[in-house]
Amino acid sequence: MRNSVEKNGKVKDPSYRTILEVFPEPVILYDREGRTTFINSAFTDIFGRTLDELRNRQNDDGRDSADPVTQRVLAKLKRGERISNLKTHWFTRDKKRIDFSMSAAPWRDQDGNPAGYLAHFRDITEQTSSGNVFPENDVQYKLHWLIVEFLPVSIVVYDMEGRAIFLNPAFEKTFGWNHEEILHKKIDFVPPDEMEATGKRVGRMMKGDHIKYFATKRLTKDGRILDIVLNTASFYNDRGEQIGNVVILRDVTELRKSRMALEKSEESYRTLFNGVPVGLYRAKTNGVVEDVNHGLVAMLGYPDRQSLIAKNSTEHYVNPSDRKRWLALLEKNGVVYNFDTRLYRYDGTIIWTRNNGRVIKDKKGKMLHIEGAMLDITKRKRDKEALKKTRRYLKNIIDSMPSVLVGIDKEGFVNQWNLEAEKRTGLQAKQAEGLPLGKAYPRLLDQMEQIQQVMKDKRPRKVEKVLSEIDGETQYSEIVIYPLLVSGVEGAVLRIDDVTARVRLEDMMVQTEKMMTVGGLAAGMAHEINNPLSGILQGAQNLARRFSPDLAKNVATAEACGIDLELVNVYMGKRQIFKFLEGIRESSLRASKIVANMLQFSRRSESNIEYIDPVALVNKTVELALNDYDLKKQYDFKQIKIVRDFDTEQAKVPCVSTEIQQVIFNLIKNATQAIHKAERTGSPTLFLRLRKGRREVRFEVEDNGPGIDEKTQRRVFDPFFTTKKVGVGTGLGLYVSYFIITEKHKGKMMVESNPGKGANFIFHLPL
Amino acid sequence: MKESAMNTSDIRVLVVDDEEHIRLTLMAFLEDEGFDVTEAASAEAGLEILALESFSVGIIDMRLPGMDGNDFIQNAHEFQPEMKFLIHTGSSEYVLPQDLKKIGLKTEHVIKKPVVDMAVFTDYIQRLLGNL
Repeated sequence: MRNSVEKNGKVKDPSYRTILEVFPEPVILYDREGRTTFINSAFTDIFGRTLDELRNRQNDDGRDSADPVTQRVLAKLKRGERISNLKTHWFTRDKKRIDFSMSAAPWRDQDGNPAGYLAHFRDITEQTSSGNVFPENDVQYKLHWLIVEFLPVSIVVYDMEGRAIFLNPAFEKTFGWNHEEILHKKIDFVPPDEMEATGKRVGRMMKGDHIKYFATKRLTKDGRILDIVLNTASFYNDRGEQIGNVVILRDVTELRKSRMALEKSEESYRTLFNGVPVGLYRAKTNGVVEDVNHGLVAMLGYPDRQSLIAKNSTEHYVNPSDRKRWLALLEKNGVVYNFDTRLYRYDGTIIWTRNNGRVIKDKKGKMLHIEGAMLDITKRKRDKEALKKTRRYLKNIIDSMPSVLVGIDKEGFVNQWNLEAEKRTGLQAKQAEGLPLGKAYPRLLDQMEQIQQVMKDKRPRKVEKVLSEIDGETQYSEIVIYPLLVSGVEGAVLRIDDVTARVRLEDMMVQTEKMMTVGGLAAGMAHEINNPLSGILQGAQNLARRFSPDLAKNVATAEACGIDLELVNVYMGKRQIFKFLEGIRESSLRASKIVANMLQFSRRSESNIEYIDPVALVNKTVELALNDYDLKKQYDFKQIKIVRDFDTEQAKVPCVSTEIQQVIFNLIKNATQAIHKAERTGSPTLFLRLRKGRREVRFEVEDNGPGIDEKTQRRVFDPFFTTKKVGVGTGLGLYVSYFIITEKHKGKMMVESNPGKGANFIFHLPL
Repeated sequence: MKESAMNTSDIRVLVVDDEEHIRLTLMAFLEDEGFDVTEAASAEAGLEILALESFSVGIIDMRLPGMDGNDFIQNAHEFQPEMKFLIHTGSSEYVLPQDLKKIGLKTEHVIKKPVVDMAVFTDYIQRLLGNL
């Protein structure tokens, strides 16, 4: 029946109407405008409506209880489309719901013109209520079925009592229950803590709400907890009643785990990135900063990341050419290590940073960004500077010492050589270091044994008065050897001091002491000598007197003895008695003079300035020299001719006579020694001259000895300078003389000499 | 106008010195000159003599055993205020102290040993006594 309508869409003759009339299933005919033109009796039977009733409601839109064919369907038909198996429902006049499957098609009149539409309904109410939702013979359903079957997402369909009426295979696989176990039962898979949240949503679901993306947990059959995200959709019967819910559960357990793992690892990377006390950054080569870590923000003293990122890298560099170099190195090598540069902090202070960086290039090799790490090495640099400074300071101290400081390791190789050592040996520190001590400082070879002993005992030793001859000069050194006592450091330090001056001074002091003792003795002795001298002199005087005929007593006594006093005198004259007596007198006189002179000379600190006749002074001194033990014994002073040339116009010079005497004596002694030293021209002569100048008196002591060369002339008044042998003289005579004349008397002193032509020592005393 | 000079034989001289030879020779000389000379070997001995006899001049050595010359002169002066003194000393450092100056001694009255010509004593004795 249907086929004949379908084929040409025409109702050929009224017999078709009859057929339609008796057709057991409801049929409606519409004209082209969609107005109801015919309904068959089956329609009326089932739906209970008449044609008239339908006609009256044809302008209604949408789903209308008056017309099973909606405007939407009509529109389709008008377009020329056919409807087949559209599942829909309608209500009878008694308000009973009928589910039916509708098919409809347009039909044409005899001439082939569109005449209207035919709609046919099949009652499927029974079918739907039996629960067989997905009839097996339907292609569309089959398609849906396939999708559901193979979907890897769990689907469960519940009835309104919460019983599962359908599970897909994915559900079975995920949760472990199979279809047969669960069907028509409630699934007990909500964990206790999810009960409340789930209950709420079940409530909404049952009201027809669609639940979207509800994150919850469910248990598997074997008790594992899965993280689930679920969505629901409600479905209804023909009558519009909600008859169940479709629940789609997505197992996100693994997803969540990996996401959490990722988050965690990201978190730990973030922590690392931010937490390290190293500054990390990424910046573009043009200087724009892309990312910085907390370490860098803190290092540069910025209040936050934003303010640091806001600045271009170039602004941080103290020396812009440093950045150019940095970029050039990165360009060249790709990776740069230990690039030191100074950067400005937020507050303007400057820090030293050490940078490692690498450059990221694009496919063409152009530099895109720089990733870098930097360390604040300001303190390190400062410490290094401080260390350098300290080292320099120490070296300064060591080099400034006027002692030679030499350090050796335990094998005896030099490891420290100060400036003074360089001077004394002529060997530079660089050359000396590493040499064995004996080679570097040959003069110390004799001390090697001592040095070894010191390092063994760990006790310092002093070696005093080590004699050496340098450039013809005698020198005394004091060597102190210190073991290095700092743990872990072995070896020794030697300190060598030139103690020539000190030794000479000590000798001089000893001599002075001796002299002072002698002086003291002399004073006492003088006393003692004067008495017996008095005895001798007085006795001698009396002797002579008592032979004289001039004394009346003598004459009387001689007569009484029967002696001719005159004759006795003649006898005495002939036998040289008077001469002998005179000799006794003279000798005693000389003795007393010597004592007197010596006393005067060794008198201490008598600094009285008196007006002294220089002539007398010089003569007195010559006398003293004549009596000098050394001069007499060693130099045969008597052989020396003394030539005096005095012209002082009776002037008297204010001076401390003993001191000037000391000076003249010293000059005479030196002259005498010189004369005897070597060849001279002519017989040994000492010239003594005195001249009165306008404001001074000039004293000259000249000899015709070998003379003094210029080099020695310059040094002749220096303390401790001596050309005499070791032990002879202290080298102080001329120094002290110079001091007496120039400092104490404000005079002048000088020497004139030509080698081979003697030497003339001259001094002036102001008047 | 000077007083008429005393006779040298009236001039009594006391020589105080611990050196025997000095005493001997000095005494011999002064006797030859005509003075009346007495010797004492120590200050104490000298004072004992002064207690009994009066002298015009004393020639005193400063360094004496026991009491020294200084004290002797002081004491002697109390006994015999008219007595004059000459100091004959071997100490070249000797300086005339104030208290002796008060008595009337002067620096020139200090004669240092050894004396080459004892005539100097004659000279000073006469001066001291106003005879020259």
